Parts: sequence; C-alpha cells; structure tokens
Amino acid sequence: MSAEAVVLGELLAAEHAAVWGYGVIGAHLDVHRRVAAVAAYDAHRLLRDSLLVRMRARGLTTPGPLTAYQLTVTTAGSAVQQAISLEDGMCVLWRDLVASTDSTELRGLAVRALSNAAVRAVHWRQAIGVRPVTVPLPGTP
Amino acid sequence: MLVAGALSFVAACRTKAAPRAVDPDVALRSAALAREQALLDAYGSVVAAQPALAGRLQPLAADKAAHVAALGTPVPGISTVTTLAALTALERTAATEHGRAALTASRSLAPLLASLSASSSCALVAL
Repeated sequence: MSAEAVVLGELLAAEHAAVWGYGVIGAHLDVHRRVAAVAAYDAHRLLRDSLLVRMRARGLTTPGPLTAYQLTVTTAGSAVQQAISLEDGMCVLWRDLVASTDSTELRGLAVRALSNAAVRAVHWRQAIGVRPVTVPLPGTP
Repeated sequence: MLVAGALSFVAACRTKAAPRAVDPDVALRSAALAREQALLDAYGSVVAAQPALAGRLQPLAADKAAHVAALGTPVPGISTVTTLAALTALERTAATEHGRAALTASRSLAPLLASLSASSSCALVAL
C-alpha cells in the first residue's frame, strides 16, 4: 500500500473518532462552549465525508467507526483538554498527509484541515486559559 | 583510440550542455524565510511602537523566531509595520502564501510550509 493510502486510512479512522469524541465532549460543556463543540463536530463530519469520497475514488477500503472509543471526560475542564489533544492529534495526521502525497487536491484539503484543526485548538486553549495559546509548528508532535 | 577520444569529447560536451536541474524547493524555502523574517521584524516594530501590546505579541513573535530558525539563516531587517491591523494583514497573506507553496513543494518541505500556514492562521486568532 502507498504511503498516501496508509495515511488516508489513519485519517479516516481518526476523523471517525473525532466525530464520536465531540459528541461526548459537547455533552459536558455549558451552552456557550457547546456551540463551539457542535461546530467542531460538524467540521469533523465534513472531513470524514471528504476522506470517504476521495478514498472510494481511489478504490481504497474505508474503515468504519468503532462502536465506542476510550475517552476520559468527567468535567467541563477535562472535556476541553480532550478537545485540545484531539485537535493536536488531527494536526499531526493532516500534516502527515501533506508529506505523503503529490496530489495538489489532497494537499489542498490537508493544508486547510491542518489550519482549521490548529485554530480550533487555539480557541480551546483560550477557553480554559492555557498559555501560550499557540504552538510554533502545528502538526509537529 | 581516436573514436573513444571523440566519444568522450562528445560526452563532455553533453555534460556541459545539459541544463542544470533547478530544485524548486530552493525558491519556495527562501520565499517562506522572507515571509517569516518580515513577520518577525514586524512583531518587533509593533511592540516598539506600542509597548502595551508586548504581553500579547511576544509569544507569537517567539513562534516566528522558531520558524526563521527552521528555514535558514536570519537576515533581520527594519519593518515599517507599526499597527495591529497591518500585522494582521501580513499574517493573513503569509497564511495564504505558505499554504499555496505547500501544494507544489517536495514532500520534505511541504509539511513545514503547511505548518507555517497553520501557524499564521492561529496567529490571526490570537492577535
């Protein structure tokens, strides 16, 4: 399997997990922050669908979501912490896709997705007062 | 002997005449360095003009310094940018330009450019 196909599979699995994760995260937040969680949930659903379309077009097998995922969320604070690590993790994978494909179209999707995930992580850090709110190079572990 | 000599002469001419392959990453990397250096200089001049903004801008300036270090040799310059609005515009352009460069760069340079684009998008939120 090509490096591109491997990363696409990892990304799809991770976007499935992100969609599930934001369902749990959102349930622990107050109304104001839940709006941001719902927007993030929608963004990850769109990314999951974008990946499905592109993987099918390439004849790749598309992993489905798991029944449940391991996610420890007990308070609003821990929910936001989980959102931050979720977005940081997605940044790493989207950056991996940039490094694994020469397709301009996939690179464009990955560059946008990396930026948007990094920006969501900044918003979540701002929400709970984590400093600094930015990281120098989003997507580098 | 003469034939071999003539052939090696032809080969030598060919080697000389062959166009030198230009690595497109070289131009992309130096353009990215110029953008990050301009941003770093701009953060410095905005803080100099408006010291009250230092607390907010210094962490972002530190990100820019890390970018410059990741790209090559810093060539500090003097920036004419002194307002937050102008700095915001510069970050917005950098996000777009880094993102565009990431589409065509090699697989080794493109991820760095993608991260730089994301970093500028994040700075727009944090400014």
